[in-house]
Amino acid sequence: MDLDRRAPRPDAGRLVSLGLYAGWILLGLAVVLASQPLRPPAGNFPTALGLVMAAAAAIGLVRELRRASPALDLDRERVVRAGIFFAALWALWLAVLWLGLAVGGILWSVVMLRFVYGWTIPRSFVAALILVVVLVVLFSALGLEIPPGQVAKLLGLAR
Amino acid sequence: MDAVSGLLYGLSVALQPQNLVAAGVGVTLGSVVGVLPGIGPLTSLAILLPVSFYLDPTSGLILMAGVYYGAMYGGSTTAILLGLPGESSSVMTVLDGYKLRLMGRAGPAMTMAALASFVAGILATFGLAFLGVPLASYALAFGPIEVLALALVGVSLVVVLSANSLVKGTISACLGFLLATVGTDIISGVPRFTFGLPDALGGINLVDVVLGLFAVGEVLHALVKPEGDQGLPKGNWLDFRALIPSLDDLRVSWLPTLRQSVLGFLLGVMPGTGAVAASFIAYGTEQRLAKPDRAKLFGEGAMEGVCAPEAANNAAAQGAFVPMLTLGIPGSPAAAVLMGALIIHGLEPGPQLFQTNPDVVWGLIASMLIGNLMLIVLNVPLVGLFIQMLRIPFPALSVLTILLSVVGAFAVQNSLFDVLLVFLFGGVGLLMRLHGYPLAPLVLAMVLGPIVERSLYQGLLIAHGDPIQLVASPIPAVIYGILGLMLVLKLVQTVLRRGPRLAVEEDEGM
Repeated sequence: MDLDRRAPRPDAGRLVSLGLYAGWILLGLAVVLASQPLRPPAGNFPTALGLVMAAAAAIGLVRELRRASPALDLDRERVVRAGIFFAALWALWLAVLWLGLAVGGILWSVVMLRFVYGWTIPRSFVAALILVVVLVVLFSALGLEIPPGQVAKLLGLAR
Repeated sequence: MDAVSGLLYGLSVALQPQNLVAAGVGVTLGSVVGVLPGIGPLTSLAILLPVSFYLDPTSGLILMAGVYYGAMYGGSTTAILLGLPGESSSVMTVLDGYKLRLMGRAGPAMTMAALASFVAGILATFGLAFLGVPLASYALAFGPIEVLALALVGVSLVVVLSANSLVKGTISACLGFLLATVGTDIISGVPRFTFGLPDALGGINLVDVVLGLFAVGEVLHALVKPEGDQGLPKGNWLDFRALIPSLDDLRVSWLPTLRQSVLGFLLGVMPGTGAVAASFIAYGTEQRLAKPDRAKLFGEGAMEGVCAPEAANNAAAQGAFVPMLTLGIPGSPAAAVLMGALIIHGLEPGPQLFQTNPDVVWGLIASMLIGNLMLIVLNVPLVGLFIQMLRIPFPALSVLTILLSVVGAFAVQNSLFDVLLVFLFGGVGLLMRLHGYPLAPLVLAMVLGPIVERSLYQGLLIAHGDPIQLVASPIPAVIYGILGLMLVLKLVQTVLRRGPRLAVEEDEGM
């Protein structure tokens, strides 16, 4: 991915577009969270929908970020780091909720980043993923719940 | 009841005075709506949805269906006279229709467009009658697994075909499905996403969403992005003689009209393709099939370039009723709104409808024959009157649209909550329009949401929780196979369209 080859574009609408994608992701995740207390089968369908919506919006957000980067004066490194941070947080949250799906999601993210966008996978990302899996296995073995904020702090991703 | 006796029975229903009035009002409104750019058939269907509560189901449905296919006729008028498609399905008509107007042949072009629409409408009605019965009896054997496959494929095809961006289409469809989950859960009776609001316990009303997205959203969009005043062309549009086509016009157009009526109908039957795609395909195929001397006239004022897309869009609009009436799966957003009207009246669309409510089904089908006759009478000699509608300033129309939307939403259950929702969805509709999110998947998903969820639950029960069973049986396997093929074609098309240079500069695909 070579962002420098893209000409800057007028981006008043692009910022809103980015915001919309972020909003859809949040909405999707909020639906997933709000569906958890509902006893099955009432919560199953909205959970699946929320996940699909968040995943679709995440793809849209990544694409929009790639296009918007020059105009927003976001350099590639910052975009990549922000992407990794959110992807890791999201993967963590999913891992807590649904281990199988998280692993699938992670694999899918890796394939997408590496082969579709041609990004080099940073070692920190791989390390974070390994840590996530280890933590999830550990916590589930201990029967503990993981608040995502604390895990983010634990990984040094948030202060 | 076979098709012939069904049609005869339907005629006896459709010829009842209240149904004749409903058909007359519907097609007239449809023609007006078709002529007016900026007010689409969905906007008017949305406004009429609350009105249909006060009519009996047959009359309500006849009225709304009349608006829908009437708009397909009217759309060609502005396309030919102003070079401005009244409906998106008339885009292809602009190419040759406007050229014919510049050549001083607007009258014959409008007559030929109306005749092509009429022929297509009649053929499609017979197609609906004769295809509907066998399909409905076949569909009776469908269980939840098959229904789930059909519903999912219906939504997916709309996502694939109506959106430039698969991502945006998927988000729109998910939003529609999510809106359908608000309220008391149909399976377990648990309240979902109601935020403790008693008004939300019954779920979000389809009327509020449709009014918000299509009526208020359309007006807001026109305010934000005005299209400008096109002005009326000069000419004596009330002169009947100016409208008569030549024998040559009839000679070159009859075969393309018949061909595209059949093709358009078949495309309309496929959920998701719709009238717009049908008109594009019709124009393309006729251009390829034409003799070299006629082919070079396409885009320069070929009469068959007007007739082919008009025949196809009309036939497709009526073809979309086939999956709605026989399978309970609407083939287009407009059909979804009509299906919403059926549900509001307590009727369950699907194969049983032919047995439980033959008056509604056959009355509707037969009313299309009558409606098409009315349309040809309305659209050929009275076209001049419809043109005068273009003198109504858009601000006046927009105020009327908002007013009718508010009244319509409030009338559903005398609740301000519905009015608030209309404005909320108006804002959502505006944002979605401005940022290129298709609205069709949202409406279709909202209508199909409960069907999908119930079928998924029942299907999993039948399959003892094994999701593989949902795709392994023959009918769903074929249905999902078709979807897979469509997705592959879309991806190939996206890749080809993008090309190596566009891949760097433009990422609109997916």
